[in-house]
Amino acid sequence: MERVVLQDPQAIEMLYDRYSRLVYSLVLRILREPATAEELVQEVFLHLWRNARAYQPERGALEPWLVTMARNRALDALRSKAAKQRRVEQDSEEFMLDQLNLRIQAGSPAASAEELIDQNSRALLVRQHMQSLPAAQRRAIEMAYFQGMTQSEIAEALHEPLGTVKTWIRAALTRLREGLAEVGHAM
Amino acid sequence: MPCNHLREFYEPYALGTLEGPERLEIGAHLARACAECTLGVEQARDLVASLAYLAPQTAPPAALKSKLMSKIIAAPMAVPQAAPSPVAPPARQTVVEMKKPVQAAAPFRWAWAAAAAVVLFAVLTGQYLQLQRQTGALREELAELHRQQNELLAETRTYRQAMAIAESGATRAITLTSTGQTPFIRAFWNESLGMVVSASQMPPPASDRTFQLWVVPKTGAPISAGIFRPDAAGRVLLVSSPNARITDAAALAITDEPAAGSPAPTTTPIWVGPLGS
Ligand SMILES: [Zn+2]
Repeated sequence: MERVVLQDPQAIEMLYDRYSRLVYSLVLRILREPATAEELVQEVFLHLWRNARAYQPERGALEPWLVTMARNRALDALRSKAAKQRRVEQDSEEFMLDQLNLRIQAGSPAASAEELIDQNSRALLVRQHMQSLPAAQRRAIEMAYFQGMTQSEIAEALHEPLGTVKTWIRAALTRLREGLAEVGHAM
Repeated sequence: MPCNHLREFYEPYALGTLEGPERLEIGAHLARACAECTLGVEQARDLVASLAYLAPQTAPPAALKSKLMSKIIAAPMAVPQAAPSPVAPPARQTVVEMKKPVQAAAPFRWAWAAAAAVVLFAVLTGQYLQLQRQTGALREELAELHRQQNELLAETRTYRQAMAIAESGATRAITLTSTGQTPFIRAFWNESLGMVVSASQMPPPASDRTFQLWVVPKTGAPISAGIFRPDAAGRVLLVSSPNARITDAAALAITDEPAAGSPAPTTTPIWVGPLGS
C-alpha cells in the first residue's frame, strides 16, 4: 500500500469535523455541563493527536474508539464529581490505539459524505431500535450507558429484580446488534 | 472459566453493567491477552459505542475548534522524515501518520543544519532550470485543480442537502433491497426537504442505460424521482425532490431504463423498498 506521511494538523482537523459532534453530544449528555464537556472534547482530540501512531486506517474503527474514550473520561469526571467509586473498566487506550484502523480517504469527498450519511443512518437506526424497546428497558440502557450504573444499581433504582435487569440489558443489546447487522452496519 | 462461557457477557462487560465473577473472569482473560475474549470484547465495545447516538445530537460551539487547533499547532508533532521518498506522488488513500516528537541531540543540530544548507544550495541551483520548465505544467495542474474545486463545491452542496435530510427528525428511513446479489440501498425521505438515496458497491447499468428511482403510490402510476448512475467506485448519492407525498406512497423502486430515463417504468424494479404503515 502506498503511504503518505501526513503530519500536519489538517489530519486532526478532518477527524474533528467528522467526529466532534458525536463526541460532544455524548459527553454533554453524560455531564450536562457545556463547559466541562468542551474541555473533555479538547482532551479527547489532543490525546488522539499526541498518541495516534501510524494508523493504517480501515473505515469505522476510529469512531467507536473515540466514543469509548470520551465516555470513559466523562463517566470518570461524573464519578469524581459525585465522589463515587469508578466501576467501568478503564479501557486500555494504548492497546486500542495500536488496533486503530481508520481509512481516511483524503481527496475523496464522496467517501466522507458516504460516511456522514452512514453516521446519520446509524444514528436513526440506533434510535429506532431503542425506541422500540419498552420504556423501562430503554431507561435501563440509558442509565447504564450515560450514567455508568451497574446492573445492581439499575435494579435498585428501578425497583426491579436483578435478574430482570440483566435480561433487559442483554435483550436490548441483542436487538441493537441484530438491527445494525441486518442492514449491513455489522460492527 | 472457558471463553465460550464468557461470550454472552462480553456486551454487558463493555457496557459496564456486568458485576461478579463473570466480570472478574473476563478481566482475567483480557489481562492474559486471550485472543478470543479480546476480539469479543472489542466487538462488543464497538456495538456499545453506537449507543452514543442516543444522545441528543448537538454541535460543539465553533470556537472550540479554533481553540483545539491552536493547541495542536502550538505543540506540533514535528518529526524529521527518516527516508523522504524522492518521488512520492500523493496517494489517493492517505494514511495518516502521527509520531511522537523525536528529540535530536542538541550539539549535532548545528552541524546538520550546515550540511543540509550546503546540500540544499546545490540541489536548488541544479533544479532551477528544471523548475522553470515545470512551471508551465504546474499552471495546467492548477487549472485542473480549479475545475476539481468547482466540482467539489457542487458536491458539497449536495452533501449539505443530504445531511439536512438525513438529520431531520421528520425523515423516514427506507431500505431498498433486491433479490439478486446486489447491495441494499438506503433512502431518506423528508416531505419538506426532499429525498436522499445513498448506496455503495452498486453495479453500473449498461453504458446506454440509467437507473431510475420511482415513488410507487398506493394508487396510480409510479412517479419518477430522478435518474442516476453510480460513480466509478459504485457509490451513489442522489438528492431529489419527488412530487409525491410520503403518506400516499406504498414503496420506492429502482428500475433500469434508457439513458434519458422514462416517463413510466419499462422494466421490472431491481430494488424495492416498502414504506410500511
Ligand atoms: Zn478468553
